[in-house]
Amino acid sequence: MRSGGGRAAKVLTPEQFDAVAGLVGADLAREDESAVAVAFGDFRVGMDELRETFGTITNGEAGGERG
Amino acid sequence: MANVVEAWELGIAEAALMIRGGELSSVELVDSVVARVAETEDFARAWAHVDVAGARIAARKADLELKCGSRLSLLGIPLGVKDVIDVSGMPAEGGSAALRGRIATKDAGAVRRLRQNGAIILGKLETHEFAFGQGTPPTRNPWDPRRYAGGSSVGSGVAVAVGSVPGALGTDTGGSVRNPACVNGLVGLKPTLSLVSGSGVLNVSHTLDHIGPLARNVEDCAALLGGMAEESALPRLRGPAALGGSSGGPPVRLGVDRAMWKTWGVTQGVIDVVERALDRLAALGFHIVELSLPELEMALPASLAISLSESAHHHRRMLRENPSRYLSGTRVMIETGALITTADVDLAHAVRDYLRSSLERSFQRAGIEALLSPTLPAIAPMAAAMSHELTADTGENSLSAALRMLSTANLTGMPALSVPCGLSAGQPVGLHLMGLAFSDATILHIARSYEEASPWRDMVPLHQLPSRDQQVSRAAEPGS
Repeated sequence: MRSGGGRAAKVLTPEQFDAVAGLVGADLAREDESAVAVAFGDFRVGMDELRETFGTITNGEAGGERG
Repeated sequence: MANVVEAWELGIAEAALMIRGGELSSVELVDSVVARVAETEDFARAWAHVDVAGARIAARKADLELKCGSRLSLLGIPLGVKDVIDVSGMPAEGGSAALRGRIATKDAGAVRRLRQNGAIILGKLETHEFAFGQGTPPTRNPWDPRRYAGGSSVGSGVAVAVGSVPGALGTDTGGSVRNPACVNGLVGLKPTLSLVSGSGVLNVSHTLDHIGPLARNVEDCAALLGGMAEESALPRLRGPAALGGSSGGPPVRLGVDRAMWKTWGVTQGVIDVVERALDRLAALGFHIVELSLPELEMALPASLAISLSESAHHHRRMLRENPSRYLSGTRVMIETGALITTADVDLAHAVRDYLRSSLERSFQRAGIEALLSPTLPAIAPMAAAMSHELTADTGENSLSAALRMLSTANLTGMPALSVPCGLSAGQPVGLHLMGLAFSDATILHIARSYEEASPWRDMVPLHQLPSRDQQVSRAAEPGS
């Protein structure tokens, strides 16, 4: 379920950058921006797939003995 | 001391019995273990701090208490503690330059319980920085120094494996007790949520962090659980934590989801070893039941949403004060956590609630006591080839692949244990057992039944450490 499709992301939105800068300061936020953007992009892909899967799975019956 | 040469080779239950019986003093045991630390540390580098003087004072006190009639379960037994768990008066740096020089002023709840039960805290064990799994602690894998030594409770695993302590505490947010237990040929337990106090821990995530024991066999692991669990929580266990008497009983049904092993990318070498363990369990009278549990795949993203967002909360103040002293890999994970939205966290909690109830239904419907699987997808990867990324699926040699298999137990709070079940390419393989909440004693009994019928209990402690030639060749490798 995890495709790693967020790998293309390299920059944060201004709001995201501000959130990171609020934690570590602007200099380190700039230094880490690319790595955080990639990690968050990967996380985002996983969460979007989770939202879809959860919606599907809760509409059906998961789990059961195979044989 | 029949059949052993040195006291450090004794397991916890065996040593405790000998101390209570007057066949061994705590001072003798501590002296032997301290000598073993000196003998192994040049290679292993498992310890962040060793309190030899304090341990000897505590050992003399334990021997005196024995003479006064004390029969505490862990009286005089030296233990190690991962350096994200506070031990009063000892360094508490969490493997990070950001906390260099910090000394704990109070025992963590689990440490307090161990001391109440007679245990001696010998020192602090190496960890990946703040238990995030990033960076490379100095600790070496005693099975092959070129390979990953497990994490993040890396010092806990290696110290117990080489015999420089008979048992240790680790923390497990997504497998960090069970992973080093598997890699080092040990038994490691993540207890049911709330069975062991979580106070006094440098948290990654207060929701998912669990303190758990690592030991050389199931009996020792159970003895540690009994000694560290909250007294008020023990009655909720379906049986005594410490194992006594026969592990026999009515036939038990155990579940497996082999299709999920394929989804997780478990290697054929590991599957072959685990299938032999299942055959042995079947020969013992256990019924192996095939299940389909596709919902397990939801555990990792939900766990990451909770753990990373909580890590930003826990580290906010320290990170603002000392951001450049964090390893960049750790910092990036926390920064990622700061971007996670409330909607994502809410979804993760909904998934958590769903998994708890759906797994309970599946266990009850199939009549199983535990869900079995390989602990890790592969044998310990070569350290140079190891990927420490948490958020990306980067193959069998990645931390992410391990988290994917182990995080369900953290998310749901269910107990889970790794017990050695053989070797693949000369490296230990673990069998993973996960049970319903507060079935810790049950999964320990199942694991002990398997252990008694298999030859793997005697794999550790390792007497022979890798030669200096192997150490030199490791040092010459790029990135080492």
